[in-house]
Amino acid sequence: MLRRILSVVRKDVVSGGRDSIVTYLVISPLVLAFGFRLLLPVLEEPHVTYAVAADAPAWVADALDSAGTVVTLPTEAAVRARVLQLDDVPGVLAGYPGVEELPRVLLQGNEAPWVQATPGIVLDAAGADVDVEIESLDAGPPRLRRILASLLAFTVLLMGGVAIGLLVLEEKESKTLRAYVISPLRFSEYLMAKIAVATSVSLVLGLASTAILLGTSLSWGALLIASIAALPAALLLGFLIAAIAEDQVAAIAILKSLLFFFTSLPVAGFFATGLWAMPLNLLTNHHAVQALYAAVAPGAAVPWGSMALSLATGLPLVALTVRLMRRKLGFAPGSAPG
Amino acid sequence: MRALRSQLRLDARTAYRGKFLHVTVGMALVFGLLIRFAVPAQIEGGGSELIQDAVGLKALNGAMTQLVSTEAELRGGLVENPDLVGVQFFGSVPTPRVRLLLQGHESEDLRGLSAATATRVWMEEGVTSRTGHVVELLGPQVPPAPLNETFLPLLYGLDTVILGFLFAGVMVLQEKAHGTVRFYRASPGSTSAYVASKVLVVTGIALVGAGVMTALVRPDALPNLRLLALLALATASLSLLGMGIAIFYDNLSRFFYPMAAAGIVLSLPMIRYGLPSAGLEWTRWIPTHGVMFGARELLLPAGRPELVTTSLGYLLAVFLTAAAAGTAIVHGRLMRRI
Repeated sequence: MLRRILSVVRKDVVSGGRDSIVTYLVISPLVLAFGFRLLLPVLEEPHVTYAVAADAPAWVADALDSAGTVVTLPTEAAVRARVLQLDDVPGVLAGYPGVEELPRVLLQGNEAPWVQATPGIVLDAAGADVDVEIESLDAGPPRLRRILASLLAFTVLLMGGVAIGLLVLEEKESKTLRAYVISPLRFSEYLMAKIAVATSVSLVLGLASTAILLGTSLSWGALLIASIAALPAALLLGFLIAAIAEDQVAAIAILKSLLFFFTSLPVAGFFATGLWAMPLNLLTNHHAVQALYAAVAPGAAVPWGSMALSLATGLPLVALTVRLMRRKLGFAPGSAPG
Repeated sequence: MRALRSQLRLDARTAYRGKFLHVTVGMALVFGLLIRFAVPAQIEGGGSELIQDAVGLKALNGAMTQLVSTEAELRGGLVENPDLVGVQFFGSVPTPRVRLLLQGHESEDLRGLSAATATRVWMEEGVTSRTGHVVELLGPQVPPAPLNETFLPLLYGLDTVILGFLFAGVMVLQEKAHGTVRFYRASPGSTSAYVASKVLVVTGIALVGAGVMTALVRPDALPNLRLLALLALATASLSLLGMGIAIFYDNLSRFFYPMAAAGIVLSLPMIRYGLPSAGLEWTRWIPTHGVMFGARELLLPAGRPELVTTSLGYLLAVFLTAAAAGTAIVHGRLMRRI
């Protein structure tokens, strides 16, 4: 039995490697994680860039520099042109003749309200005699970074499932599946091989991409358990593609419709409250992402509760999909491969 | 012309059987209903600061701030929500004092901004500073757009337009896998008819989806020829790109990761759309940028009518380039290859 399972695993790895799928599968999540890491500073905090005229009083640039990025431009016309660009960059000029010390803030009028308010607040507060103390709580990464890390890890785990779904589809189209069906290979063995490939690829890449995003000071045990909590969702998506899609056109239609529910509804779990949040409790993907979110906290404990809920809501659906898959792939008595 | 008509019929049938239309309209209904009924038009938020006011400051009286009465509550609230900055006001004029309790992950800019904001609050009590400022608006003051409606241009870019890429790419893969292209080569049909047919079918389906979403969210905006032109040009361009890339792959498994990578790149303008203060000026070269910002100006005017014209001009140039390149690639790689 083990030999037959390993033979299917080997075939998947070899054909995946031959088609560059393995390369893509390994590289894509890592590139994605690097990309996220580069974008994090932009996403995590409000940040304002100010276009300041070179002839503005020196204290103006100093004050604004303490609360954002200052770009000094040579002329008033250059500042006006910069403010009119598409992004929200307020401009600051010297005051009108005779009141040069009273800076002029230039706005387009369509900036976000907080961006409109910021230069005025900073300039007004400059030089005010208020004693400001700062105490740092060293509380760890911001919530958004943990949300992004958990969503990224979940998406990477899902990709392992999708890859298996697409491999089965390829076996259908290349008629390899027919050969499996008439061989001594049992459906349980075929399934175990697919689960082994999906699980190992998903887990390794999920952990690696999380480490790229958050560093290596993670609670690895908690993260591993949380990643296991995400496997029912990954397998469900992969097996649905494998069972339902008869060709590539159908596969993309299925992916298009299901990926939204698999990846977007867990996002709602971070913001929905009250009645809106209740239906989410029925979803394995919601619990999986919550488990991953808990696991990427500093010094996280193993998220047993979310993991149990993810398995409880996900495994019955996986079992139903496996039954459907068995029939559709031709392993059930009296059925024919799709 | 007859070849185009006949190819159009075939492609429309393939797309219909592949449930492209069903999935597109179904998802458009889901998105439209979510935007209309689930996403609020305005978020009542208390800002990013948790404040303990031991003074009874006038500026905080009735303000939209999150106030607590004790230090224990303040510290507890900061542990509960690691995105908040804590601010304690104490002392009195002439010795006003502020303590900022930071989570530890804040940038120097955010620290400076928080300090300035707290100082500005004290100024309502009579603390004086340097000189103040004056504001000059370069355009009309635009009230913030309803939050839910801002999702519509975003979805045009992330869903409608990207559908063109996915569907056109997969249709080519499907024909390669089924050997349909060989029959086409032997027919009198031209390469341009082959390409144009797919582009028209896919763009048509995507536009139906966009129409459903728009009818649900902003029925008053229909019909809108400029919006139609924006979406049609962008979707057609990306359909050509999808075909041009898919030709280099043999099946969906191999095309999946390039497809995912393209999806990520095409989604990047959404960061600038959501965070205009973030900069990322280079994303304006990505076609979905023109769709998001042009469509927003059409549906939710922010005093930048030239954005529509420049987006249309840019997308027309992209379309013409993509049409020439796409047709050449299809001809070279698909029609002349045996």
